[in-house]
Amino acid sequence: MTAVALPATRGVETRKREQQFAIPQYMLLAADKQPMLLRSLNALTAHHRAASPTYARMIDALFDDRGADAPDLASVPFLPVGIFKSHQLQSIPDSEIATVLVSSGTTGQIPSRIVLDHATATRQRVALASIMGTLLGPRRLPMLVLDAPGIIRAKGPLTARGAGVLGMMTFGGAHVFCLDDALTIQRDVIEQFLAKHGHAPFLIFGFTFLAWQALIEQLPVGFLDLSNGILVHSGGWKTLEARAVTDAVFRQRLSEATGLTRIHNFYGMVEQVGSVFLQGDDGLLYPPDFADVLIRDPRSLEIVPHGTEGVIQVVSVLPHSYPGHSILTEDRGVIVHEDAPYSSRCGKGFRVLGRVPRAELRGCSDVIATGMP
Amino acid sequence: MLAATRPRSVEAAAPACTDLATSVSAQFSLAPLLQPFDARTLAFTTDLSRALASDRELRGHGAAQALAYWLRPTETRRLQQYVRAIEGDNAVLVPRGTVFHVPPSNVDTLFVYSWALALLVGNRNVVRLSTTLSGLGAYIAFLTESVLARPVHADVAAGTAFVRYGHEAEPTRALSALCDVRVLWGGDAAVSRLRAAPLAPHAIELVFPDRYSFAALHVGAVDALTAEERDVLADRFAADAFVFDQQACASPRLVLWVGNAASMHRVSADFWTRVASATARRGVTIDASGALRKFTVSAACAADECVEHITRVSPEVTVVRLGSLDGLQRVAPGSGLFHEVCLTSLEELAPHLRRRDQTLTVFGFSRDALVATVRHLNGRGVDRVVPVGQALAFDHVWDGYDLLQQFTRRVAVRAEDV
Repeated sequence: MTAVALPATRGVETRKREQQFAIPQYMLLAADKQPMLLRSLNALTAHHRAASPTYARMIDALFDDRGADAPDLASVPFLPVGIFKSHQLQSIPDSEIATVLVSSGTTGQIPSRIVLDHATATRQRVALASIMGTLLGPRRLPMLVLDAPGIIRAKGPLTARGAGVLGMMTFGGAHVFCLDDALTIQRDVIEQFLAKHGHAPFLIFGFTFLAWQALIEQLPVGFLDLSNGILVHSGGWKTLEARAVTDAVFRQRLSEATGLTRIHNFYGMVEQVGSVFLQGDDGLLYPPDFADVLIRDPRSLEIVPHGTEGVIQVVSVLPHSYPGHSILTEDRGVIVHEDAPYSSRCGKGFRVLGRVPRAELRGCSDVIATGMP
Repeated sequence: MLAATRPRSVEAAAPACTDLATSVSAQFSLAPLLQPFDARTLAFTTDLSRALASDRELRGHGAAQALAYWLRPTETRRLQQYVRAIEGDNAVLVPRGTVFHVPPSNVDTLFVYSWALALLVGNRNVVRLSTTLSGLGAYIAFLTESVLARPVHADVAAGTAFVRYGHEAEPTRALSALCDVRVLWGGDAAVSRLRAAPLAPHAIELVFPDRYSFAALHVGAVDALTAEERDVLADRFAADAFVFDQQACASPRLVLWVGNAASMHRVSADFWTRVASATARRGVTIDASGALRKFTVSAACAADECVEHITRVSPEVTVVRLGSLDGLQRVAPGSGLFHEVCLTSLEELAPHLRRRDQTLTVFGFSRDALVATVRHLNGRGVDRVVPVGQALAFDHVWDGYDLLQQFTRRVAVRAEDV
C-alpha cells in the first residue's frame, strides 16, 4: 500500500489517482470500481490517521481493527457528518489552509467547517467539471442563473447558496441572473437571454425551490420556451415537500410549463464538495467513478441490501486536506440498482428520501424556551 | 396509543397575558383555604391515583404507574406524618400561599409531583404547561384535569390553574409577580432566562437546572452475583436509564466501576450484555435519529475525552470506556450512551465532581462507606445516593431541597412558661 503523497509533492502515484476524477464518469463496473476505490480510500484513511491525531483517536475508538487496510468498502471507517459541525478537522498544517468552507446545512444553526488547501480545492473543481461535462459537453454553454445577482455580490461571507452558484458558474458563459433581490423573476431579462441563446442548448442552474418558485409559481404555463435548456438543480426538497412537490411532479410540471425535458437534480454536501451525485435520465442519482454511496441501517450501522432504505454513507477520493473521505450522513436513501444493464450509467442508481426524522427530545434538558427579554 | 387530547384550560394569547394573571388571581381569591393534608386534598390525590392506575391507556407506562403509586393514601399519609414530625413542639407549618410551577416540558410526569407536593401542604398552584406538551405528558394532564373537574373536587380545582402558553415572556412575568414560591425546572439557559422575571419581595424560588447523574458499581460485589442476580441488577439499571430515554436528570450516564481493574473488563462486558438484553426485554428501541445522535456524540467524545474504546453493544447500548475522568464532557444525548471508568475507590471521584452532578446510584457499598464518601466529598456535587433501580423514584427531598419544607412556612409558636 502506497501512502498518498502530500498534495505539495505530486508524484506519479498522485497524478495517476487524479486521473480517476478527470476522466469521463459512470464508466466503471463494480468489479473494477470497488478495488480501485478501496485502494484510494485505504490510503486516505492512513494519510488522515497520520496527519490528524483527532481523526486517529476517533477511528481507533470507534472501529475495531478497521484502520488503513479495510478488506472491502463496507469496512472503511466513517465519521458522522455532525462531527464537522462540532470540530474543525484538518490533515494539513494551518499554514497550508487555503479556505475554510462554512455551511449551515439544513437543520442546525451550527455550521460545518471544512478545511481546504489549494490541492484539494483543485481536485474538487476538476472532479465537478468531469461530472458536469457528462451533461454539458466540453463547451461552456450560455447560462441562466435562477437566483439574484446579490447572492454572490453581497457583503460579508459567502453563503452556501452563493458558493453553489459561483461553483456552477464556471461551467457556463454569458451568465444572466434572472431573479431580483426579492427573488421575483425578471421576465424581460429572461426574454432577452432566450432571444439571443434560446435556439441552441443552454444551461440553467438554480436551487430546487427557487427553480420551482420562479418557473412554475411566478410564470403562466407556456410563457417561456426552455426546450433547449438543460436544468441543473440542487439544494434539497424540504421546502417543496411541504407543497407535495416530488421529483416526478417537478419534472412533469416544468416540462408542461416550459418544454424543459433535460432536468437533472444533484445530491451533494459541503463536507464532500466536488463529489456530487447527478441525476441520470432515469431519475436516479449516480455516484461518479471516484465516489460511491453505501446504505446502512441507522440503528445497527450495518450495510443493508440494495432495495432496503437506510441512512446514506458517502465515500469519495477527493478529501485530502480534511478527513472527509468517508462520511455517514443523516439523509435516508435507497439503492435501486447497481450496474443495471438497462441503465445508461454504470454504478449504483439511488434515491434520496429526505432526512432522518429528528425525534422529539425528552427530559429536563428540553425545556420550554420561554424567553425573557 | 395515547391521544394527545387538548383538555380545557386557561389559554394565554400573547396580548391577553395580564388577563391571564388577573383571572388566576380572581380564581384564587374565591378558592377556599386548605389546611396541610386537608381531607378534600387527600380525597383528590386518592382519586387521581386511582384514575392513573386504572386507566387502560396508561397500562404498561412505568412512569405513570409510579406516579399512581406515589399518590396512594399510604404514601400521602407517610408524608403527613413526616410533616408533623418536622413541625416539632415549637412551630406550626403553614402553606406559603401561591406556588408557580414551571416544569420541564418532557419529563412527562414531573409536573404532577411538583404540583401535588405543594398542594398537599395547602398551597394554591399555577402550573405552566408547554403548548407543545404531547404524548404521555399531555394525556396525564388531560386525565388530571378531568379528575379535577369532578364536582366533588371543586375546592381543590378552585385553587389550581393549569396554564398553557408558548415562548412569551409576559405571562411568566405576570405570574411571577403574583406568586409566593416559584419553582423552575429546565435547562440552564432557560432557567437563567426565566429567573430574570422579578418576584415579589417576600417570594422564594426553587430552581432545578440541568443535572448529570451516574452509577457506582462495586466490581467485586457484581462479580460475586449469580447470573440471575446480575440480570436483576442489569434490569434495574436499564429501568433507571431508559424510562425517560436517558434524558431525566437522574438517568445514569456514567458508570464508575470501583475495585479491581484487572477483573473490571470481564465484569463490565458481562454487565453491558445483560443491560442490552434487559432493554430488549423491556421493549426499548432507539429510533434512527437517536442512534445517529449517539454515534455523532460518541465520535466527539473520542476526540475530546480520554477514550480507550467505544463499544456498540446493541443499537440501544453504546459504551464509551474512559482511561480517566480527565476531560469528561458530561454529554447527554440520551438514547443509551454510557461512559464507564474504573476507580480504585469512590473517593477518587472527588476532584472530578461538579455542582451539576446529582444522583449517584450505587450497588455493592455499605451505608457507612457511602456516608463516609459523601462526607469526604463535602458538598462537591451529588444530591442523592440511592440503590440502582431507584434513580427515578421521586422523593420530596430533591436536588438538595426538602420540597415539603420549602412549600411551607414555619410559624414559631412558644407559649409562656407556666
